[in-house]
Amino acid sequence: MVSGLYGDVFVCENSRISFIPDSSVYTVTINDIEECFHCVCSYSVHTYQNSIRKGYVTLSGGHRAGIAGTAVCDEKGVSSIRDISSINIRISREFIGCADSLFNRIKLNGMKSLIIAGPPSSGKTTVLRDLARLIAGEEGGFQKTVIIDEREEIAACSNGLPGNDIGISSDVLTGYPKKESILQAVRTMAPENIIIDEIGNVDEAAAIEEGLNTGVNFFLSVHASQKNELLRRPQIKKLLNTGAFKNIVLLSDRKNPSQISAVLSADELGL
Amino acid sequence: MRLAGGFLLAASAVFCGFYMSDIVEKRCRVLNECISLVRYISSLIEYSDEPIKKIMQKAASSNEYKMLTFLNFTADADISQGFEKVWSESIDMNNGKLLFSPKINELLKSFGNKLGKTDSAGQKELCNYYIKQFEILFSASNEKRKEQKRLCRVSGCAAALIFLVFVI
Repeated sequence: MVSGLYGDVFVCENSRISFIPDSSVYTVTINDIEECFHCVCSYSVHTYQNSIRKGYVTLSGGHRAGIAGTAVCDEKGVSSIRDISSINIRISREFIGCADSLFNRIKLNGMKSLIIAGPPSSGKTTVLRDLARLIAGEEGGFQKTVIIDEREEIAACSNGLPGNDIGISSDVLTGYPKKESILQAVRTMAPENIIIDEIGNVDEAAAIEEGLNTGVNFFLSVHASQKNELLRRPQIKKLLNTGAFKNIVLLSDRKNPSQISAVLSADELGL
Repeated sequence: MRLAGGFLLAASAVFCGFYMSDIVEKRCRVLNECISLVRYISSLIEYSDEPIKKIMQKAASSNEYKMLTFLNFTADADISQGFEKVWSESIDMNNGKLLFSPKINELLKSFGNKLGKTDSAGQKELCNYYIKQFEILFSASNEKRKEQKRLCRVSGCAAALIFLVFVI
């Protein structure tokens, strides 16, 4: 099945596409899934074992393959995935210029930390990537920016070289766990700004708080489609309570990717 | 005529002896390189989680594996069609096929079929297993090499004796 802005389509055995899952639609076999899994891992499962444990593999170019199967657990948690039943490949796109209006707003406000929220596939990573390009490029006066790219989706580094335009003065920490990398970036890279994708827990928020105390601006994204969802997330509450994040940009849905639907102020959220 | 015949007989016996012992000698070196290669792969997986393609490129650029020319084919090949296939075809294309006995061939191919299919711990175990298998083949070949060295010496002496008898 292929999903896109035009809806869902199915691939038939004769390589044509169909809008309905009828008998001509190709049924994927277990062997196909296995071969596809090894292929997305570049025939090197050991290289991707950490991300496989988290249920995904990042492909070269920043594309992401989500893996569904049966978890193999040990005392530390999920150690591996077996009996892979489906793979969801998300194609990453670089959309230059999608953060222009947001960047102008940030510039007007005097470069303050910002949270970008949105539902899945709303373009959070795309906006962050373009924001990095602007801040660390000529438009932003080549500000020293560290991109914490745990899932290798923002910069899409291959052999240490970024595959996307992320600005001249960007440093990329690829594959690091967010919490450790925030502290490492602050201590060793002397950044003016740090860009992080998908803040997931309170520990990461605590590391950001520590970073904020050193005078670094943070531009980060979180999963949340509405104001209420934002307020229900403890890590957002923790971040807003620091007083460093004055605004939250809410992105639209998957049908209008990278579009700003609202800009909420911290006061408006009652925090 | 008798003299010439005797000389040819003795020379061919010595030549055959040396040729056979040279093959066994080279086979030992091939096995030694195989053991070293598997150890190298194991260390790259254990300490840097390198992907298979990069491991092959590093191994091919190393001077240690001069007899394993199949590594150059593997390093240059496009593995998107499947690493197993590329590895197997590369082994078949290796120069000096005589040095790769069916057992070495089989062992190398089955090692390649399992390479990159599990996590680091699994790969380490796999490499250890194949190191042991190659070591068994190496010690057998080494024994054969020693035997043939002795045989060579004896056959050389015998050939010289035959030649002497014919001369007398």
